[in-house]
Amino acid sequence: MKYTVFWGCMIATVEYGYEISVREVFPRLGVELSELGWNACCGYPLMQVNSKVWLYLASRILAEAQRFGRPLFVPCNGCHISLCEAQHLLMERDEMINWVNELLKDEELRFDSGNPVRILHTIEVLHDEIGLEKLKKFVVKPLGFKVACHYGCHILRPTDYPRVDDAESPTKMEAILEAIGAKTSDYPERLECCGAGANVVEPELVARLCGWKLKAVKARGFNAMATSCPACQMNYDAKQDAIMQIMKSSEVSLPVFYLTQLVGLAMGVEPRRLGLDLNKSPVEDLVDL
Amino acid sequence: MGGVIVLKLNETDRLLEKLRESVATLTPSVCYSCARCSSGCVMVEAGCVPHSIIQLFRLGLLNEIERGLWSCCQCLKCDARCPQEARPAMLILALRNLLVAHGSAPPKGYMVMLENVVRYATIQQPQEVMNKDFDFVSRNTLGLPELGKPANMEAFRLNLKKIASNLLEVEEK
Repeated sequence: MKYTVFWGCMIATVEYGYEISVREVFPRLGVELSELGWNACCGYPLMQVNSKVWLYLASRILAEAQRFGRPLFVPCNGCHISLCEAQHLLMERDEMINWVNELLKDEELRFDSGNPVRILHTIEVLHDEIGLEKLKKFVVKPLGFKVACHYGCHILRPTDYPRVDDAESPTKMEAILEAIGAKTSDYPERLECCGAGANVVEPELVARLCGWKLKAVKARGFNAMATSCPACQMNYDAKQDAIMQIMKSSEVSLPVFYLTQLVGLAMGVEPRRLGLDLNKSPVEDLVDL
Repeated sequence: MGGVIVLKLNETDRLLEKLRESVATLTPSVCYSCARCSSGCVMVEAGCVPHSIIQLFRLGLLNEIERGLWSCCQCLKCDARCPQEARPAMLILALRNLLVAHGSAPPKGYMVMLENVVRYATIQQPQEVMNKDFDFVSRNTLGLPELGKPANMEAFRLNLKKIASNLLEVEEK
Protein backbone atom coordinates (compact mmCIF):
# COMPACT_ATOMS: atom_id res chain seq x y z
CA MET A 1 0.00 0.00 0.00
CA LYS A 2 1.67 3.14 -1.23
CA TYR A 3 0.00 6.52 -0.86
CA THR A 4 0.83 10.14 -1.29
CA VAL A 5 -0.22 12.05 1.82
CA PHE A 6 -1.82 15.49 1.97
CA TRP A 7 -1.87 16.87 5.52
CA GLY A 8 -3.68 20.19 5.05
CA CYS A 9 -3.47 23.19 7.39
CA MET A 10 -4.76 22.09 10.78
CA ILE A 11 -2.77 18.89 11.16
CA ALA A 12 0.43 20.46 9.85
CA THR A 13 0.26 23.65 11.92
CA VAL A 14 -1.25 22.71 15.28
CA GLU A 15 -2.85 19.25 15.57
CA TYR A 16 0.48 17.43 15.53
CA GLY A 17 -0.82 14.40 17.47
CA TYR A 18 -2.61 13.21 14.33
CA GLU A 19 0.43 13.52 12.08
CA ILE A 20 2.76 11.93 14.63
CA SER A 21 0.47 8.96 15.24
CA VAL A 22 -0.15 8.38 11.51
CA ARG A 23 3.59 8.52 10.78
CA GLU A 24 4.24 6.08 13.63
CA VAL A 25 1.40 3.62 13.05
CA PHE A 26 0.87 3.39 9.28
CA PRO A 27 4.36 2.13 8.31
CA ARG A 28 4.06 -0.61 10.95
CA LEU A 29 0.85 -1.71 9.19
CA GLY A 30 2.62 -1.90 5.84
CA VAL A 31 1.56 1.51 4.53
CA GLU A 32 4.21 3.51 2.70
CA LEU A 33 3.58 7.25 2.73
CA SER A 34 5.29 9.68 0.40
CA GLU A 35 4.96 13.43 0.74
CA LEU A 36 3.28 15.77 -1.70
CA GLY A 37 5.83 18.28 -2.98
CA TRP A 38 4.46 20.98 -0.66
CA ASN A 39 1.61 21.77 1.72
CA ALA A 40 -1.16 24.32 1.07
CA CYS A 41 -4.75 25.08 2.01
CA CYS A 42 -7.38 22.75 0.45
CA GLY A 43 -9.69 25.75 0.19
CA TYR A 44 -12.58 24.31 2.19
CA PRO A 45 -13.09 27.11 4.77
CA LEU A 46 -12.79 29.74 2.04
CA MET A 47 -15.58 28.14 0.02
CA GLN A 48 -17.90 30.10 2.31
CA VAL A 49 -16.74 33.48 1.04
CA ASN A 50 -15.74 32.66 -2.52
CA SER A 51 -16.37 29.20 -3.91
CA LYS A 52 -14.00 29.79 -6.82
CA VAL A 53 -11.11 30.32 -4.39
CA TRP A 54 -11.98 26.90 -2.99
CA LEU A 55 -12.17 25.25 -6.40
CA TYR A 56 -8.81 26.67 -7.41
CA LEU A 57 -7.07 25.65 -4.16
CA ALA A 58 -8.57 22.14 -4.17
CA SER A 59 -7.89 21.53 -7.86
CA ARG A 60 -4.23 22.40 -7.62
CA ILE A 61 -3.80 19.75 -4.91
CA LEU A 62 -5.59 17.19 -7.09
CA ALA A 63 -3.39 18.17 -10.02
CA GLU A 64 -0.21 17.82 -7.95
CA ALA A 65 -1.40 14.45 -6.59
CA GLN A 66 -1.97 13.19 -10.16
CA ARG A 67 1.75 13.57 -10.82
CA PHE A 68 2.56 10.90 -8.25
CA GLY A 69 0.15 8.29 -9.62
CA ARG A 70 -0.66 6.89 -6.20
CA PRO A 71 -3.90 7.13 -4.19
CA LEU A 72 -4.02 10.30 -2.10
CA PHE A 73 -4.31 9.75 1.64
CA VAL A 74 -6.14 12.68 3.28
CA PRO A 75 -6.43 12.35 7.07
CA CYS A 76 -8.46 15.56 7.64
CA ASN A 77 -12.25 15.34 7.21
CA GLY A 78 -12.44 18.91 5.86
CA CYS A 79 -9.70 18.36 3.29
CA HIS A 80 -11.29 15.02 2.36
CA ILE A 81 -14.68 16.54 1.50
CA SER A 82 -12.99 19.48 -0.18
CA LEU A 83 -10.96 17.34 -2.58
CA CYS A 84 -13.76 14.80 -3.20
CA GLU A 85 -16.27 17.54 -3.95
CA ALA A 86 -13.88 19.47 -6.19
CA GLN A 87 -13.09 16.34 -8.19
CA HIS A 88 -16.81 15.51 -8.43
CA LEU A 89 -17.54 18.99 -9.74
CA LEU A 90 -14.62 18.96 -12.20
CA MET A 91 -15.61 15.56 -13.61
CA GLU A 92 -19.17 16.78 -14.19
CA ARG A 93 -18.42 20.17 -15.68
CA ASP A 94 -15.88 20.58 -18.45
CA GLU A 95 -16.00 24.36 -18.28
CA MET A 96 -14.72 24.17 -14.70
CA ILE A 97 -11.73 22.06 -15.78
CA ASN A 98 -10.89 24.63 -18.44
CA TRP A 99 -11.18 27.48 -15.95
CA VAL A 100 -8.99 25.70 -13.41
CA ASN A 101 -6.35 24.61 -15.91
CA GLU A 102 -6.04 28.13 -17.26
CA LEU A 103 -5.08 29.28 -13.75
CA LEU A 104 -2.85 26.30 -13.07
CA LYS A 105 -0.76 26.86 -16.20
CA ASP A 106 1.42 29.43 -14.45
CA GLU A 107 2.11 26.93 -11.71
CA GLU A 108 2.98 24.22 -14.21
CA LEU A 109 0.09 22.12 -12.98
CA ARG A 110 -2.78 20.55 -14.90
CA PHE A 111 -5.84 18.62 -13.78
CA ASP A 112 -6.35 15.62 -16.07
CA SER A 113 -9.99 14.42 -16.13
CA GLY A 114 -8.85 11.08 -17.58
CA ASN A 115 -6.87 10.33 -14.44
CA PRO A 116 -9.06 11.00 -11.38
CA VAL A 117 -7.35 10.76 -8.01
CA ARG A 118 -8.37 7.99 -5.64
CA ILE A 119 -8.85 9.84 -2.34
CA LEU A 120 -8.67 7.90 0.93
CA HIS A 121 -9.41 8.91 4.51
CA THR A 122 -7.84 7.35 7.64
CA ILE A 123 -10.94 5.23 8.32
CA GLU A 124 -10.88 3.90 4.75
CA VAL A 125 -7.18 3.03 4.96
CA LEU A 126 -7.65 1.15 8.24
CA HIS A 127 -10.99 -0.50 7.46
CA ASP A 128 -11.07 -1.00 3.69
CA GLU A 129 -7.42 -1.10 2.66
CA ILE A 130 -5.55 -2.74 5.55
CA GLY A 131 -8.68 -4.55 6.72
CA LEU A 132 -9.80 -5.67 10.15
CA GLU A 133 -8.36 -9.21 9.97
CA LYS A 134 -4.89 -7.91 9.25
CA LEU A 135 -5.24 -5.14 11.83
CA LYS A 136 -6.16 -7.67 14.54
CA LYS A 137 -2.86 -9.48 14.00
CA PHE A 138 -0.96 -6.38 15.15
CA VAL A 139 -2.86 -6.01 18.42
CA VAL A 140 -0.71 -6.82 21.44
CA LYS A 141 -2.51 -4.68 24.06
CA PRO A 142 -6.27 -4.82 23.48
CA LEU A 143 -7.69 -1.52 24.75
CA GLY A 144 -10.40 -2.89 27.04
CA PHE A 145 -12.13 0.43 27.70
CA LYS A 146 -15.33 1.79 26.18
CA VAL A 147 -14.96 4.33 23.40
CA ALA A 148 -17.58 6.64 21.87
CA CYS A 149 -17.03 7.18 18.13
CA HIS A 150 -17.25 10.69 16.76
CA TYR A 151 -16.97 10.42 12.97
CA GLY A 152 -17.09 14.10 12.08
CA CYS A 153 -19.68 15.30 9.56
CA HIS A 154 -17.65 15.77 6.43
CA ILE A 155 -16.56 12.19 5.85
CA LEU A 156 -20.22 11.10 5.97
CA ARG A 157 -22.03 13.86 4.09
CA PRO A 158 -23.18 14.97 1.54
CA THR A 159 -24.74 11.98 -0.20
CA ASP A 160 -24.39 12.88 -3.88
CA TYR A 161 -20.89 11.47 -4.29
CA PRO A 162 -19.20 8.59 -2.44
CA ARG A 163 -18.25 9.25 1.18
CA VAL A 164 -16.30 7.22 3.72
CA ASP A 165 -19.30 5.50 5.31
CA ASP A 166 -23.10 5.56 5.44
CA ALA A 167 -24.40 9.05 6.26
CA GLU A 168 -26.97 7.92 8.84
CA SER A 169 -25.64 4.64 10.17
CA PRO A 170 -21.87 4.43 9.81
CA THR A 171 -20.16 1.38 11.32
CA LYS A 172 -16.52 1.40 10.18
CA MET A 173 -15.03 3.34 13.10
CA GLU A 174 -16.74 1.07 15.65
CA ALA A 175 -15.51 -1.97 13.71
CA ILE A 176 -11.92 -0.68 13.82
CA LEU A 177 -12.12 0.03 17.55
CA GLU A 178 -13.59 -3.37 18.31
CA ALA A 179 -10.85 -5.00 16.26
CA ILE A 180 -8.29 -3.37 18.57
CA GLY A 181 -10.10 -4.56 21.69
CA ALA A 182 -12.18 -1.51 22.64
CA LYS A 183 -15.84 -1.66 23.51
CA THR A 184 -18.22 0.54 21.53
CA SER A 185 -21.93 1.15 21.23
CA ASP A 186 -24.36 3.41 19.45
CA TYR A 187 -25.54 6.48 21.36
CA PRO A 188 -28.14 9.14 20.53
CA GLU A 189 -25.61 11.97 20.07
CA ARG A 190 -23.26 9.90 17.89
CA LEU A 191 -23.69 11.84 14.64
CA GLU A 192 -23.98 15.31 16.18
CA CYS A 193 -21.62 17.93 14.79
CA CYS A 194 -18.83 19.51 16.86
CA GLY A 195 -19.76 22.87 15.33
CA ALA A 196 -16.23 23.67 14.13
CA GLY A 197 -17.53 25.39 11.01
CA ALA A 198 -19.10 28.09 13.19
CA ASN A 199 -16.02 28.68 15.36
CA VAL A 200 -15.26 31.95 13.60
CA VAL A 201 -18.75 33.36 14.36
CA GLU A 202 -20.19 31.57 17.39
CA PRO A 203 -17.26 30.32 19.51
CA GLU A 204 -19.21 30.22 22.77
CA LEU A 205 -22.17 28.36 21.32
CA VAL A 206 -19.78 25.90 19.69
CA ALA A 207 -18.09 25.32 23.06
CA ARG A 208 -21.45 24.62 24.70
CA LEU A 209 -22.36 22.28 21.86
CA CYS A 210 -19.15 20.31 22.41
CA GLY A 211 -19.67 20.35 26.18
CA TRP A 212 -23.17 18.96 25.73
CA LYS A 213 -21.88 16.03 23.68
CA LEU A 214 -18.93 15.32 26.00
CA LYS A 215 -21.27 15.33 28.98
CA ALA A 216 -23.69 12.96 27.25
CA VAL A 217 -20.89 10.60 26.23
CA LYS A 218 -19.61 10.50 29.78
CA ALA A 219 -23.07 10.02 31.28
CA ARG A 220 -23.65 7.06 28.96
CA GLY A 221 -20.71 5.22 30.48
CA PHE A 222 -18.04 5.73 27.84
CA ASN A 223 -14.44 6.05 29.10
CA ALA A 224 -13.18 8.00 26.08
CA MET A 225 -14.05 9.50 22.73
CA ALA A 226 -12.30 8.81 19.41
CA THR A 227 -12.15 11.24 16.49
CA SER A 228 -10.65 11.12 13.02
CA CYS A 229 -10.69 14.84 12.19
CA PRO A 230 -8.36 17.60 13.43
CA ALA A 231 -11.18 20.16 13.71
CA CYS A 232 -13.32 17.83 15.84
CA GLN A 233 -10.31 16.82 17.93
CA MET A 234 -9.38 20.43 18.55
CA ASN A 235 -12.92 21.20 19.68
CA TYR A 236 -13.31 18.23 22.02
CA ASP A 237 -9.72 17.88 23.21
CA ALA A 238 -7.74 21.12 22.98
CA LYS A 239 -10.69 23.28 24.03
CA GLN A 240 -11.89 21.06 26.86
CA ASP A 241 -10.65 23.45 29.57
CA ALA A 242 -12.43 26.38 27.93
CA ILE A 243 -15.60 24.29 27.60
CA MET A 244 -15.41 23.45 31.30
CA GLN A 245 -15.18 27.13 32.17
CA ILE A 246 -18.07 28.13 29.89
CA MET A 247 -20.28 25.27 31.11
CA LYS A 248 -19.12 25.75 34.73
CA SER A 249 -19.00 21.98 34.98
CA SER A 250 -16.34 19.29 35.30
CA GLU A 251 -18.83 16.76 33.86
CA VAL A 252 -17.32 17.40 30.44
CA SER A 253 -13.84 16.14 31.36
CA LEU A 254 -13.17 13.10 29.17
CA PRO A 255 -10.11 11.62 27.43
CA VAL A 256 -10.32 12.30 23.69
CA PHE A 257 -8.03 10.46 21.26
CA TYR A 258 -7.31 10.35 17.58
CA LEU A 259 -8.33 6.98 16.16
CA THR A 260 -4.72 6.44 15.04
CA GLN A 261 -3.46 7.08 18.59
CA LEU A 262 -5.75 4.31 19.87
CA VAL A 263 -4.65 1.93 17.11
CA GLY A 264 -1.04 2.66 18.07
CA LEU A 265 -1.70 2.01 21.76
CA ALA A 266 -3.27 -1.35 20.96
CA MET A 267 -0.19 -2.18 18.87
CA GLY A 268 1.95 -1.54 21.93
CA VAL A 269 3.50 1.70 20.70
CA GLU A 270 4.91 3.91 23.45
CA PRO A 271 2.30 6.66 24.16
CA ARG A 272 4.60 9.61 23.57
CA ARG A 273 5.55 8.25 20.16
CA LEU A 274 1.87 8.69 19.34
CA GLY A 275 1.86 12.32 20.42
CA LEU A 276 -0.33 11.54 23.42
CA ASP A 277 1.55 14.06 25.56
CA LEU A 278 0.10 16.70 23.18
CA ASN A 279 -3.54 15.85 23.92
CA LYS A 280 -5.06 18.41 26.27
CA SER A 281 -7.86 16.19 27.59
CA PRO A 282 -7.06 13.82 30.51
CA VAL A 283 -5.77 10.91 28.41
CA GLU A 284 -3.48 10.08 31.35
CA ASP A 285 -6.57 8.64 33.09
CA LEU A 286 -6.33 5.70 30.69
CA VAL A 287 -2.72 5.74 29.49
CA ASP A 288 0.58 5.84 31.39
CA LEU A 289 2.45 8.68 29.78
CA MET B 1 -39.99 47.45 6.65
CA GLY B 2 -37.14 49.93 6.30
CA GLY B 3 -34.00 48.39 4.86
CA VAL B 4 -35.56 45.03 4.00
CA ILE B 5 -34.73 43.97 0.47
CA VAL B 6 -37.92 42.74 -1.19
CA LEU B 7 -37.63 40.97 -4.51
CA LYS B 8 -40.53 39.96 -6.70
CA LEU B 9 -40.80 36.22 -7.23
CA ASN B 10 -39.47 36.28 -10.78
CA GLU B 11 -36.50 38.25 -9.48
CA THR B 12 -35.86 35.48 -6.95
CA ASP B 13 -35.73 33.06 -9.86
CA ARG B 14 -33.17 35.22 -11.61
CA LEU B 15 -31.11 35.41 -8.44
CA LEU B 16 -31.31 31.66 -8.11
CA GLU B 17 -29.91 31.29 -11.63
CA LYS B 18 -27.04 33.53 -10.59
CA LEU B 19 -26.42 31.50 -7.46
CA ARG B 20 -26.40 28.30 -9.50
CA GLU B 21 -23.34 29.61 -11.30
CA SER B 22 -21.30 29.34 -8.12
CA VAL B 23 -22.85 26.26 -6.53
CA ALA B 24 -23.95 23.23 -8.49
CA THR B 25 -27.16 22.02 -6.87
CA LEU B 26 -29.81 24.45 -5.67
CA THR B 27 -33.48 23.54 -5.57
CA PRO B 28 -35.19 25.62 -2.83
CA SER B 29 -38.53 25.65 -4.65
CA VAL B 30 -39.19 21.99 -3.79
CA CYS B 31 -39.22 22.72 -0.02
CA TYR B 32 -42.61 22.18 1.67
CA SER B 33 -41.46 23.42 5.08
CA CYS B 34 -41.56 20.16 6.96
CA ALA B 35 -38.74 21.63 9.10
CA ARG B 36 -36.88 18.35 9.36
CA CYS B 37 -33.75 20.39 8.61
CA SER B 38 -34.32 22.84 11.45
CA SER B 39 -35.34 20.14 13.93
CA GLY B 40 -31.87 18.62 13.68
CA CYS B 41 -29.89 21.82 13.22
CA VAL B 42 -27.35 22.56 15.96
CA MET B 43 -27.21 26.26 15.11
CA VAL B 44 -30.92 27.14 15.46
CA GLU B 45 -30.04 28.74 18.79
CA ALA B 46 -27.85 31.22 16.92
CA GLY B 47 -30.70 32.27 14.65
CA CYS B 48 -29.91 29.94 11.76
CA VAL B 49 -33.19 28.20 10.94
CA PRO B 50 -32.73 26.36 7.62
CA HIS B 51 -36.38 25.95 6.55
CA SER B 52 -37.17 29.59 7.27
CA ILE B 53 -34.05 30.68 5.35
CA ILE B 54 -35.45 28.79 2.35
CA GLN B 55 -38.86 30.43 2.72
CA LEU B 56 -37.41 33.92 3.20
CA PHE B 57 -35.32 33.39 0.09
CA ARG B 58 -38.41 32.36 -1.88
CA LEU B 59 -40.16 35.49 -0.65
CA GLY B 60 -37.16 37.58 -1.64
CA LEU B 61 -36.53 38.88 1.92
CA LEU B 62 -32.76 38.69 1.74
CA ASN B 63 -32.02 41.13 4.57
CA GLU B 64 -34.07 38.99 6.93
CA ILE B 65 -31.90 36.01 6.05
CA GLU B 66 -28.64 37.79 6.71
CA ARG B 67 -29.17 37.59 10.49
CA GLY B 68 -28.60 33.86 10.93
CA LEU B 69 -26.70 33.23 7.74
CA TRP B 70 -23.13 33.21 9.06
CA SER B 71 -23.96 31.04 12.07
CA CYS B 72 -24.48 27.88 10.00
CA CYS B 73 -21.59 25.46 10.67
CA GLN B 74 -22.08 23.67 7.31
CA CYS B 75 -22.32 20.23 8.91
CA LEU B 76 -24.58 19.36 5.95
CA LYS B 77 -27.00 17.40 8.11
CA CYS B 78 -29.95 19.35 6.66
CA ASP B 79 -28.85 18.57 3.10
CA ALA B 80 -28.55 14.87 3.91
CA ARG B 81 -31.89 14.61 5.75
CA CYS B 82 -34.13 16.77 3.56
CA PRO B 83 -36.82 14.48 2.08
CA GLN B 84 -37.10 16.84 -0.90
CA GLU B 85 -33.37 17.35 -1.53
CA ALA B 86 -33.89 21.09 -1.25
CA ARG B 87 -30.25 21.54 -0.09
CA PRO B 88 -30.60 24.25 2.61
CA ALA B 89 -26.86 24.20 3.39
CA MET B 90 -26.00 24.76 -0.29
CA LEU B 91 -28.41 27.71 -0.42
CA ILE B 92 -26.75 29.20 2.68
CA LEU B 93 -23.33 28.73 1.08
CA ALA B 94 -24.49 30.36 -2.16
CA LEU B 95 -26.06 33.29 -0.32
CA ARG B 96 -22.85 33.87 1.65
CA ASN B 97 -20.93 33.93 -1.64
CA LEU B 98 -23.46 36.31 -3.12
CA LEU B 99 -23.38 38.74 -0.19
CA VAL B 100 -19.59 38.83 -0.24
CA ALA B 101 -19.55 39.31 -4.01
CA HIS B 102 -21.86 42.30 -3.52
CA GLY B 103 -19.49 43.96 -1.09
CA SER B 104 -20.77 42.72 2.26
CA ALA B 105 -17.85 42.00 4.62
CA PRO B 106 -17.57 38.36 5.72
CA PRO B 107 -16.87 37.60 9.41
CA LYS B 108 -13.30 38.57 10.25
CA GLY B 109 -12.06 35.00 10.73
CA TYR B 110 -12.53 34.23 7.04
CA MET B 111 -10.49 37.26 6.01
CA VAL B 112 -7.66 36.27 8.37
CA MET B 113 -7.60 32.79 6.83
CA LEU B 114 -7.67 34.12 3.28
CA GLU B 115 -4.88 36.61 3.94
CA ASN B 116 -2.77 33.92 5.56
CA VAL B 117 -3.29 31.60 2.59
CA VAL B 118 -2.04 34.37 0.30
CA ARG B 119 0.97 34.90 2.56
CA TYR B 120 1.89 31.37 3.68
CA ALA B 121 -0.28 29.07 1.48
CA THR B 122 -1.88 27.69 4.67
CA ILE B 123 -4.53 29.24 6.94
CA GLN B 124 -1.88 29.75 9.60
CA GLN B 125 1.83 29.14 10.11
CA PRO B 126 2.97 26.15 12.20
CA GLN B 127 2.31 26.95 15.87
CA GLU B 128 4.18 26.03 19.03
CA VAL B 129 2.01 23.93 21.30
CA MET B 130 2.33 22.99 24.96
CA ASN B 131 2.73 19.34 25.95
CA LYS B 132 1.76 17.68 29.24
CA ASP B 133 5.14 18.64 30.76
CA PHE B 134 4.33 22.31 30.07
CA ASP B 135 7.10 22.50 27.46
CA PHE B 136 6.43 24.33 24.22
CA VAL B 137 7.12 22.12 21.23
CA SER B 138 7.24 22.79 17.49
CA ARG B 139 7.27 20.66 14.33
CA ASN B 140 11.04 20.80 14.53
CA THR B 141 11.40 19.67 18.16
CA LEU B 142 8.80 16.95 17.54
CA GLY B 143 10.93 15.63 14.66
CA LEU B 144 8.30 16.39 12.02
CA PRO B 145 9.63 17.29 8.56
CA GLU B 146 9.25 20.73 7.07
CA LEU B 147 6.43 20.55 4.51
CA GLY B 148 7.28 23.50 2.32
CA LYS B 149 5.29 25.98 0.26
CA PRO B 150 4.14 25.72 -3.37
CA ALA B 151 7.08 26.01 -5.75
CA ASN B 152 5.77 29.10 -7.50
CA MET B 153 4.35 31.25 -4.69
CA GLU B 154 4.27 34.27 -6.97
CA ALA B 155 1.90 32.63 -9.46
CA PHE B 156 -0.12 31.18 -6.57
CA ARG B 157 -0.63 34.63 -5.02
CA LEU B 158 -1.46 36.23 -8.33
CA ASN B 159 -4.09 33.58 -9.04
CA LEU B 160 -5.72 34.12 -5.65
CA LYS B 161 -5.77 37.87 -6.17
CA LYS B 162 -7.28 37.39 -9.58
CA ILE B 163 -10.08 35.16 -8.28
CA ALA B 164 -10.79 37.05 -5.05
CA SER B 165 -10.15 40.57 -6.32
CA ASN B 166 -13.23 41.74 -4.38
CA LEU B 167 -11.65 40.62 -1.10
CA LEU B 168 -7.94 41.15 -1.64
CA GLU B 169 -6.18 44.39 -2.34
CA VAL B 170 -4.29 44.08 -5.60
CA GLU B 171 -0.86 45.54 -4.97
CA GLU B 172 0.16 48.52 -7.10
CA LYS B 173 3.18 47.81 -9.24
